[in-house]
Amino acid sequence: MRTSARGALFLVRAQLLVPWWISGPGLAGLATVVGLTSGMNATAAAGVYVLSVVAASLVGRLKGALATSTICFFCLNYYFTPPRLTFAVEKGEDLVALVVFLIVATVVSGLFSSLTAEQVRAEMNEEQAREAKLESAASDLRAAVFSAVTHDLKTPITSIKASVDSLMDIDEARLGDGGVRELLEGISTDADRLNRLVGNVLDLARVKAGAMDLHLVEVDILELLGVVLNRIRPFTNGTMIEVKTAPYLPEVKVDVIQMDHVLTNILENAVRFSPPRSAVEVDVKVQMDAVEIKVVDHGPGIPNHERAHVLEPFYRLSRDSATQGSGLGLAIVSAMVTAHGGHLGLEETPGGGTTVVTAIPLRPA
Amino acid sequence: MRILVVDDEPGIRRALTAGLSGLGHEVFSARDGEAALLALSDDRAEVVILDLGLPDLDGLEVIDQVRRWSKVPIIVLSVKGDQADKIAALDAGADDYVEKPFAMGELAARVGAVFRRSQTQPAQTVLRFGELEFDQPKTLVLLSGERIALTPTEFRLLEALVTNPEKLLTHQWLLRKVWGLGYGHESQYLRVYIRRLRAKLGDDPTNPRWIATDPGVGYRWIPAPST
Repeated sequence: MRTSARGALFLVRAQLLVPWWISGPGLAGLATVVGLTSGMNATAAAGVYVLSVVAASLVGRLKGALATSTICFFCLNYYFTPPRLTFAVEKGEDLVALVVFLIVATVVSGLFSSLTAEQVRAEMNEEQAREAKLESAASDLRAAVFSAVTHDLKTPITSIKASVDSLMDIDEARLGDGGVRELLEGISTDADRLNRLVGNVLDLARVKAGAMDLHLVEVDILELLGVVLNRIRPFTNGTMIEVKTAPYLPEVKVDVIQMDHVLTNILENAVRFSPPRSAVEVDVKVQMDAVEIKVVDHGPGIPNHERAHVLEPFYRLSRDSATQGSGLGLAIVSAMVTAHGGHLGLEETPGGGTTVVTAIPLRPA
Repeated sequence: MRILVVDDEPGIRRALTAGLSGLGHEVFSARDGEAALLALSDDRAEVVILDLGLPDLDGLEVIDQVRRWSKVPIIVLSVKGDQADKIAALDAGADDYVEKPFAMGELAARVGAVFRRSQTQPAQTVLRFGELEFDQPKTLVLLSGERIALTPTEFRLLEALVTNPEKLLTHQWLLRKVWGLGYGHESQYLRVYIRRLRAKLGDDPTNPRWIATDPGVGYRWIPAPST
C-alpha cells in the first residue's frame, strides 16, 4: 500500500476512534495551555489556535473543526485579548482581530475537512481499484496457469492409463512384440514428462512461497559444469559443446542442486535450438566480482519484443507450439539465479542465436 | 545375486522385485527397518537396496546397525535434492546412492558395480587404467610410459581413488584417508589437490575421464573410461 493511502487510513481510523466532541475541545484546550505557559501575546496565540483548528479539521472533520473554532474564539478573547481573563474587549482593532480569527478558523475548518474527506475517499477508491486490478490480473494468471498445468499433467496420465489398459486387455499376440514395446516406451516417456513437470511445478511453488532455502557449499564451478556436460553430451545429436575457461577460477558458494538445475536447463535449451552441425560455446570467466558463465548458441534466437517475457512463468515463444515445454523452465532458472544474488541475462548472439549469461557473485548476498 | 529391497512403498517394492528378478536376481523385500534387520540376520543378502525414508527406524540407523556385523554392499534410494541425507548415509557406510525416480537400468548397473567391488578385494599392487599405470609399492605413476611427479599428498589422494574404483568417496572419507583422522571438513584442500592431480593426469574437469565429481558430496574413480 502506498504511504499516502496509509496516511489517509490512519486519519480515518483516528476519526473513528476519537469523536469530534472530544478532539475539538481537546485541541482547543491544548492550544490554550501552550499559549499560556509560554506567555504568548494575542497575535501569537491566534496563530497557535489556527493550528489547532487545522488539526481538528483533520481528525474531527467539519464538526470538530467548527467546535474547535468556536472554543478557540472564546478562549482567545478570554485569556489573551486585553483586558485578560474577561470577555470584554478594550480596543476596536482587537475586536476586528477576533472576528477575523473566527472567519479564518471557520474557512480553514471547511476547507481542510472537506479536503481530507475527499482525499481519504479518493485514496481509498484508488487503492481499491488497484487491488481489484491486481486481483483480476492475478486471477487471470492463476486461471491460465491452472489450465496449462492441468493440461500438461492430465495428458501423460491419460496416455499412461490408455497404454496400460491396452497392455492388460488386448491379446499380446495381436499387439505383437513391437506393439508391446511401443506402448511400454510411451509409458516410460510419459512418466519422465510427468516427473519433470511435477518437479518444475514444485520448484516454482517453492520459489514463489519464498521457501527456497539455499544449501550453499563451496564448489569449483568447472567441476559442476563437468557433471552437467557429462549428463548432456550423449543427447546432443551431434551438436558440439566447446568449453573455454580462464586458467584459474575462484570457488563460488552455490546450492549444488539448484545450480546443476540452472546449468542443465540453459545448456539443454542451447543444444535443442542449435541447428545441425553448429556448436554451443561455453565461456567461463571472472567478471567484476562474479563468475560469469556465458552459453552461446547459433539457433533461431528470441525475437526482441519477446525477450523481456521469456523469463515469466508459462510464457512460450509465439512460434512454439503449445505442446513444447511448459514455459516454466527459464522462469525457475531465473528465480534460482536471483536467489543466489546473481543475475540471468539474455542477449542476442552476434550473427543470430541466443546468448545466456549467468553471473554468480563471488560473495553471495 | 541375492538382493534385499527395503522400502515402505508397496509399488516400489513390486517394481523393483519384478525388474531385478527379470534380470535374473533373487529378490526379497522388507517394508521397514526392523523387518530389514531381521531379514539380514537370516538371509544372506549380497546387496541391499535401502530407502532412507522408512516408517520406523531411520534409514541411517539401519545402515549403522548393519555395519556393526556386516559389510554387505548398501545402495541408498534418496530423494533428489537431499544432499545432507545422502552424505550422511555414505558417511555411515552406504556404498552408493540412486536418486528417485531412477531408471531400472541405472539401478541394476549400480547393483552390479557394488557387488563386483565387494567380491574382488584389490590384491594387485600395480593397477592399469588405459595409458595410466599406478605402481603402489614403488610409489610410481606412469602416464603413457612417462613418469609423473606427484607430491606425497597427491600420491595418497590418487591411491585412495584408484584403490576404490567406481565407489563414491565422500569428502570426509577422503580427507581422513589422505590427511588424517583430525580432518573432515576441509573440503577446499581436497578441491585444490584434485585440481592439481587432474592437471598432472591431463584430466579435464569439464569432461573428466578418470575423476568424476559429485559436487558437494565427493569423488569417484572411473576405472574403465568409455572413450
